[in-house]
Amino acid sequence: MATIRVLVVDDSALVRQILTHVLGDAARIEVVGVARDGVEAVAAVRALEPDVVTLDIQMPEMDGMEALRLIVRDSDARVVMLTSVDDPETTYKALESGATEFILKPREGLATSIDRLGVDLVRAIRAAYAAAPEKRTRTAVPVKPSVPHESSAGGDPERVVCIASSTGGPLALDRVFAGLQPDLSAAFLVVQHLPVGFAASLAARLAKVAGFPVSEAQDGMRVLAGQGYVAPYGTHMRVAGAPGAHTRIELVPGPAIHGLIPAGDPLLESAAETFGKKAVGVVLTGMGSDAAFGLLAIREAGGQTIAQDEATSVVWGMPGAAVKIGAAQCVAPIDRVAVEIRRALRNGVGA
Amino acid sequence: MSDELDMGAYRQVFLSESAEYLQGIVDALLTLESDPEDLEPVEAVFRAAHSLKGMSGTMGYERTASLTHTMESLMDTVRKREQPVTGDLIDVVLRATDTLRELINHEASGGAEVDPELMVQELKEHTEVAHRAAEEAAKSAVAEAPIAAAADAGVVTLSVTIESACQLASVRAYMVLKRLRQLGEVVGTVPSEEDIDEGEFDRTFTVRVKTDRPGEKLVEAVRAITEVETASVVERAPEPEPAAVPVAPEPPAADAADVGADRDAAFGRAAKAVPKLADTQTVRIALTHLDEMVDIVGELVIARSRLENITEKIDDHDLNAAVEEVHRISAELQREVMQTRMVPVGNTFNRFPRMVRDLARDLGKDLAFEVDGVDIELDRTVLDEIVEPLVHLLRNSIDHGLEPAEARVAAGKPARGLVRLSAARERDRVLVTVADDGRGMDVERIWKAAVARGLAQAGERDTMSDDDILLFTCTPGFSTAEHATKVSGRGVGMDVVRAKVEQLGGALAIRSRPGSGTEFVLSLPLTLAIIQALLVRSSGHTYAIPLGAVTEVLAYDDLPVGTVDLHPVLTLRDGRVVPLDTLDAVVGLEADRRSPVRSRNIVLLEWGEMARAVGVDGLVGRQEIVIKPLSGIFAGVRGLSGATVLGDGSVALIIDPRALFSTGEGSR
Repeated sequence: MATIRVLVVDDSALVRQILTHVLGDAARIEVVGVARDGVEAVAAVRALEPDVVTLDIQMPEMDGMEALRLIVRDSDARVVMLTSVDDPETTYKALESGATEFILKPREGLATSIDRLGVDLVRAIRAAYAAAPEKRTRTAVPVKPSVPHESSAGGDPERVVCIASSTGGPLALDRVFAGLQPDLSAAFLVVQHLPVGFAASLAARLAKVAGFPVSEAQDGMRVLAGQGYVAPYGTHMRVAGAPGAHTRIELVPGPAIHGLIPAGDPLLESAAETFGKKAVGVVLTGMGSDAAFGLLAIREAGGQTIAQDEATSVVWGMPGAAVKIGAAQCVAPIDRVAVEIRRALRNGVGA
Repeated sequence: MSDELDMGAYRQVFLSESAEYLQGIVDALLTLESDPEDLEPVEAVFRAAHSLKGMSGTMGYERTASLTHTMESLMDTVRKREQPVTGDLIDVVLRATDTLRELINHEASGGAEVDPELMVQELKEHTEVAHRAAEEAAKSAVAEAPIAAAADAGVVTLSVTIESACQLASVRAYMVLKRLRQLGEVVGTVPSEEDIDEGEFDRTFTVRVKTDRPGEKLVEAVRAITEVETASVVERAPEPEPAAVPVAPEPPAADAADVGADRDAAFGRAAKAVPKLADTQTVRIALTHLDEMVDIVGELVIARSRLENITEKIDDHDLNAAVEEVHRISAELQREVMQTRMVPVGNTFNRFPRMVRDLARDLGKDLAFEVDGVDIELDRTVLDEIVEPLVHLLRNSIDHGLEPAEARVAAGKPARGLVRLSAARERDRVLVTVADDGRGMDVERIWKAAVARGLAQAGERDTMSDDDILLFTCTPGFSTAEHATKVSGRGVGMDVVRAKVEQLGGALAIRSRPGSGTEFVLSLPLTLAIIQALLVRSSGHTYAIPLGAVTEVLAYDDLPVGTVDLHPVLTLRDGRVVPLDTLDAVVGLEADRRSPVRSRNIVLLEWGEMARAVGVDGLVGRQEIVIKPLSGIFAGVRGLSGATVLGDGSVALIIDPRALFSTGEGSR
């Protein structure tokens, strides 16, 4: 396989050195250059034609957002944004402006976090590389927040909708959640492959676009109808209990599956076991093949399954794998996924 | 991958990089104070605080992260114009920077002594005041008027041309527009901003900016952007609708007020003159590595000399060629290694504007501070060593050199004093000058004080130049100050300055004219470790004389030798008469061990404007030598500055030319 050529852009020598060092240990990744500000970045992208650019936000001369715009407009480079945990708005803005992936700058000290930083960064770079350049902005239409709905239901859900997504997922989830209705008898569980520290921000964002409560899942947390749950970093998430009775979250430790934790398979498989035909499985855009067998398990248990189509997926890895093994009953463009979920909850997909 | 070694290396990078950011913050704050309406430096402070926050978070330095976070928040309010730039604001951020510097050093070394909490609270209070003000303002419609929209806002049309060689014209144009937005409101461009962004313009475009700033300021700001070929004001039209400007907000000129404003403009200029380290591709290397490399190269130079000695004896053609090659390569290596130790003096000078500002404030002096020659390079060690002397000289100039404003005006001088720090290259030396346009030094008073202290005989007055007399102020304990202030008593510490400079192989000169100012000139060697030297022999010993001091080598009979007051003298071709001594006498060799033979050669030395002739038994040659400091019984011997190992393994003593010219032993 080809080597991924990476340009590292950051105004801090320390960060450049750390990133370069971390990437130096990764197979098939070569740092072909570094740049210290947006102007240098734009010039270096033109001169070096890297496959992937890691881009800082706050920089002298020209900031990362402006450089992102120009890089996406004038080159094929995919961008991994380096953002900070306390600024999810900027992260989303970057994704909407064409950044393919993002990681969060470490906050709790390198000694403990450098290995995880390396894992996150390498994953993000490989995922960004897998995305087609022309997909960078296709799905990037901002979604307006919904007006909060009246809090409804709140009892044990009759059905669960389990969604797995990865690269391109945050914006895809935006579209899905913006089209969902809370006043259904279902709960929504999400596994999105994320850098550490972002699950709470993702939950908050989804709550805003959906208009119903979405929270970062905790072990043993009760699952309520009309609400959403996002798997935290570092553990797998499963759903336990039965339809209409004692539905709750189980967080289980590793090992990582497909190198991912959380992975989509454990969630989808647990939904197949506990909710059977009352489970709805959804696999959205993302690199790799995670969640394909989980989706198949739901289908085999009589549940209903949806995969995002190739045209609207940033990377048609996970949904493609699901389609190939015959796990998806329905393949839909992202703007139809919410409709298909609603239909599945009413009377079964494709019906 | 995260082993101890890496963490240590990252910590080093963190420390040196944060030092740069801290300096950047101070520079930007001083620039900001000089022109509080131009918010460009605010961006720089904000970004630096943000970067420091991220870096310290990355390293796990929580207290540093917390302090930089509050600095960032405070600067954010300034950047959003939620509060004006005042002297108080600058002060609090400068103090926060001081705390931060201390904190970083402690936290990085694992210490817990520095608690930033008080500073954090103070910054928070400043931030909250701004937020409250912003909220209040948001309620009233007046807030809509941006601060910049002062009564005389007009529209300036600028024509901007990007260099033809520029590869990224649209990026440069973007930077031009961004910069102009910091100075006013961009109300239109030709071609359209969209076209400019797409690169659809032929190097030149025009911008209309609504601003109350003079057009020249805009032009200057735009021209400072890389790859902008030229910028000029096409026209300046007054604002067409002067009617409906609501109550103009208070001009945010702040308490620094008029006096401070353009005085500090001078600081601003000075700060801008300092080069940004980021302007060159750099790798960070610990100084100890460089020192070690210099040592090793020194060994190499010695080994090379030995090799050359052997080669001469064997005299084989191929060997000669190979050794010649080794010579060339090692010389190149040596030059490169020495070059790595050279740093622009600006790296050190950049800390002075802040110091001078604070000092001027404390002493109530109104002054402009100019810095010049920041690109001149000097050996890192030399540079580090002269910081303290420079601090002292600058204090001296500000406190004692500059008269109070009234006295200046009475003397027909501008009320604002001038202090100047400059560096210049002169052959193999660097001259660093601290000058003021103050009252000057009173030579006669110093002369009287010197005589009173027994440093000179009253009768000698005619034999001494004014410059020599001024150097008496560098005698330990010498002071003529009527009253010492807390900053410095005149003379106190000058002995330390001179000693330090001479220890570095440099020389201090003082020039002063009563009423018009004083100048302290530090003449410093470019580098310390390896020098070109003339090797000579005297009474069986080999000595090295730094080539920088040698002006001519003569055979004994070339020029007439005479005597003056029984002392041998040499009459030079230009008619000057210089004292002649044997090298044996110069180094203080006892008479019975001195060479019985008459000197065969004479080495002519010059130091500043003085000249001396030294007789030697013979010449050995010219060679690069590695200076090793003297230790043990030799340390501190007057006339010797060190020793070196020669190619044949023998040791040569290095003559200290300065000692030959100082009044005292060995000169007569």
